[in-house]
Amino acid sequence: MTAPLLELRGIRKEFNLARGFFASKRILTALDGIDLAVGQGETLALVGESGCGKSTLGRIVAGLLPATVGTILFDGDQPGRGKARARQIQIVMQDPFGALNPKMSVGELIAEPALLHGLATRRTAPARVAELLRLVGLPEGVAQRYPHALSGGQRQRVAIARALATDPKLIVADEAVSALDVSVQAQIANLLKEIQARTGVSLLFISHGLSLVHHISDRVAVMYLGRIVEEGPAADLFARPRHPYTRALISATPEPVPGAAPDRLALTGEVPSPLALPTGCRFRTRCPHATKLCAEVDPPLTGEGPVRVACHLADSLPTYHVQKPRPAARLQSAIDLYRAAAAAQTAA
Amino acid sequence: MKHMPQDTMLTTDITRPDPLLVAQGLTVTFATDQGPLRALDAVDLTLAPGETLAVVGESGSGKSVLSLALMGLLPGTARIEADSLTFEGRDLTAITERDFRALRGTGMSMIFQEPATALNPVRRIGDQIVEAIRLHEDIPVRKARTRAIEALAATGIPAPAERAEAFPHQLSGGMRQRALIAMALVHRPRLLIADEPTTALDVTVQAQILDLIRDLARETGTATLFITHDMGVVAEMADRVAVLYAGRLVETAPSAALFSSPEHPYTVGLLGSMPQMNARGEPMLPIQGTVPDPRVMPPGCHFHPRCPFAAGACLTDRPALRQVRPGQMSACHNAPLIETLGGAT
Repeated sequence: MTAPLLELRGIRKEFNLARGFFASKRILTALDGIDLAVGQGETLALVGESGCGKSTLGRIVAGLLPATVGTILFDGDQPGRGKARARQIQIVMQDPFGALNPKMSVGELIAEPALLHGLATRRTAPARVAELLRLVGLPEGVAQRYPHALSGGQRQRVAIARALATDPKLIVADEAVSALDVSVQAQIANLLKEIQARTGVSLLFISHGLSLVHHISDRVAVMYLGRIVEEGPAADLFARPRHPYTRALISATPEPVPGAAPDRLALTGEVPSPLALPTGCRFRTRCPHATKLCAEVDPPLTGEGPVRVACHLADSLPTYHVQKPRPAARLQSAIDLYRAAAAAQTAA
Repeated sequence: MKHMPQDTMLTTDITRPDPLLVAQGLTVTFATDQGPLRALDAVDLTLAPGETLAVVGESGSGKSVLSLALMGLLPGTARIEADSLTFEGRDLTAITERDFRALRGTGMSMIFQEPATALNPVRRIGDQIVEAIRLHEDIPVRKARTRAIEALAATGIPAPAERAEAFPHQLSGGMRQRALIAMALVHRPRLLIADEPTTALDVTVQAQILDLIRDLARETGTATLFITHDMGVVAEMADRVAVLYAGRLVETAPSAALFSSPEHPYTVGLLGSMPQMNARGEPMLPIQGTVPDPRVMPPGCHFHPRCPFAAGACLTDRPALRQVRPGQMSACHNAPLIETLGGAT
């Protein structure tokens, strides 16, 4: 990888849950020792289940939360604070309705960040709004409308247009498509990739859904209880996952082919409380392979190849090949017909 | 209940003896300030005992209205009309509220997407299940409590006796859903309606809950109406599938047939827009546009403004649901798609 755009070193985030001055300290460690880099124009996905710390990490990157310990480098330098950071790094959240002021028109919403950062004037703002609306595939007339009059997908396009208004170098997309219908998810995912191809923006794509991540990301970091347990190129990680947790996540994802369910690596139990972390490896309480060593020593994230993994048994476990079930021939023909007809319609 | 062999499921629904649930021409209209709003439009459904039928569609397709209509839980602003709506032969449109209440819980019960809102936050889990038991059965509290703990144990909740003493907020989302399933199945209903029961859960917990619903339904012979928007979940759970679009049934087929040869363009679009059906790095196939506003439904086929194949009759004539192959019905003028529209088979 060339010089990374974003580099995170030893990021740790603690939340003090104690309420009141005299209460004894109750520290929740949401992130612990996160090392990660995002390249120029790259899409890095952060995946994991609720409570793994992926959203906290996204907020720290976007400057919405301070890290307790650790270094963040942006373009090889300390990232700016406040406004300066916001200009370079923008965030798009899950619920576009909560992120848009209902009293502002779409035009005002999109012009606001450009005006705030001095990238447009009252006079030039309408032209900039029109350009951004075009970029996110919305008709110009939408500028006069209000968020409540838009569909979920359209609102998310407005949120993306707002994020693009400052010409950021990195967009953090925190579950940005999770609340949308699958058919609309595909529209928004395509849009993000189109914008990336056109502007070279890097994406930190935070998601709990693996199928979409597999499709759109260059690299993937899998998180569990505040740690990265496996990280590497998406193609490698999805074809030959090495960490038992990555394997379990992949095998738990339902595939749209009846009877094709892979030999499911069922996990027992639930994610432990981050207030009472297990000793040694944090995953061992749910891991089907856990040994005595796993209970004693916390495995570091290491690897010689492109994939890094935090598991004592990574080299001794049998290789797990993920076989993606293929859709039936007739279904594939029907999808091909649909795709061709849709393309012809768009061209017309 | 024996598991149905594949060829039995391929026969048309109506020819099956003694279906559990029959809906014919089921129409639900809401009275709103802007006039009547038709949420379901002449839907035909049949469910056999022990069968799992998945109902799929995007938000606004009417799938949740369907489940509430079957449970008799729609608000007073809703008007239900049907040529026929029966459960075990009983006419649900003519049933008294009192009889319906007796039926809910014993004959049919329901689990929801967000178990936290379906549970009373200020009462212990065990007490809530005891209440559900004693609502329909005149047994002493102590006996009911034993039953409640057994029911919790059957859903795989560890230390069920202790969990029975917990309040809903003390349990994780997965545990709450297990508790709700325990409550729903405590009277061994013949029909379980599951409305997006795993959508709010993490994927590894979803896998556990799907296994649990399937195993318990098989064990007790309960038929399941499984409402979801996730085609992956459909493939895993369903014997048969019904696809809803803008309040109308557009396709119904045995699961194997639907996934090997979908015969409505909307079904093709739903499957084609899944990341798994698209090559990595290529743009994904979206369904263009959005679900129409139910107050201004398009004429002809409801799907035609978004359909890449729409032409001629699609813009003016409502396509009837007709048989394409045994057991598979499609409401598309172009069905069978590949034969009509060309392309390799």
